Amino acid sequence: MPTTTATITLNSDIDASSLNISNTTTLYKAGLDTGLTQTTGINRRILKATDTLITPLIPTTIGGVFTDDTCDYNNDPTITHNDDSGKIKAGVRVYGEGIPDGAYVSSITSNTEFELSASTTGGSVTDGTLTLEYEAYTANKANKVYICNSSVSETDYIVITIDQEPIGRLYAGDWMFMPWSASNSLSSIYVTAATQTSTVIIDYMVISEGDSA
Amino acid sequence: MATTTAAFTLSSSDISSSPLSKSTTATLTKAGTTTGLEQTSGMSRRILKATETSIADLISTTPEFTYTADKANKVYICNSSADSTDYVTVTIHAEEIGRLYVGDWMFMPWSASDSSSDIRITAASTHTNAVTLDYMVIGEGNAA
Repeated sequence: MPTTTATITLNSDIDASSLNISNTTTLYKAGLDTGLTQTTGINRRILKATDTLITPLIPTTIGGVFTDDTCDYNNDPTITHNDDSGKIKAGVRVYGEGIPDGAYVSSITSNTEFELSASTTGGSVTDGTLTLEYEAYTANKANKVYICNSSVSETDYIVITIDQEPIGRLYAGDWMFMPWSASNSLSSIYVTAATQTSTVIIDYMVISEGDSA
Repeated sequence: MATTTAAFTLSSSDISSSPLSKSTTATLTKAGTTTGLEQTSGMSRRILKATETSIADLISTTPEFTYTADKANKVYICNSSADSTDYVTVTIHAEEIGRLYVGDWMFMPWSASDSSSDIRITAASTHTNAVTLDYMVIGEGNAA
């Protein structure tokens, strides 16, 4: 079982008595004493000075998307399809004709049927093509996220957002390490570099319990 | 001017085929400057009794002074409890950030962008013992 440790050391003369904190945690699965087993490794994302819009950094899903062109539905959350051998997983986002924005697979009924989180719209569709994500991080577990703004200009910052909630600003050289619930398909982590004057370099990593299967 | 550094080290010899090792150190400065952050709440401790399972404020945007919104504030929170199954869920506004299990710590920027941006915690409904949380804000303070 992997053993992963994360240590923070804070030192400061910010108050009358010096501030010295050092804390090491071993990263375990939720409620267990077995180590987290999966990681994305360190990733690097570079935003050009012209990339000023909010941008997905870490999606709640793992492994991209696939399509299924055998899907039948009709103004209802139930979607039937040919046998997928278990390829479709609960918790992943779904895109396609008649699929409401933000809809995701709420439950798997069988290898030929699943329930969407909302009713489809637009009437009957037969053999429709839907795009689905492969896997989702296990929600509400002990996932951890590290993000560092590795840029050099002190005035440049990125805003970290989960879903639509701005968490905080990482200025050049700042890092963060936090738990991540990935509690639903909307809980992706986004960055916005709205006012930067030069390229922004972002290093990031997820250490997790892996997929929801 | 205060100088505050926050160092991070992540190490794993066996989570992947090649050892994982990452270290970085940040000097905590005011937004967009090279001037160090000057205010801190100091290390605080909050203990939630086993009966306290409702969501509760941990860090307010308006303590004795107001944290300056959308600046370089930083927050440290550690679940210093002892029971490995107990956790707290950390929330900002209505957004669930994540779960801190026993021994876990987090360090993140905090926009404190409006009066609803308090950092709130919810102890697991299943927790059986008191939950001990240590926390601290290092910020720019005084929006005025």
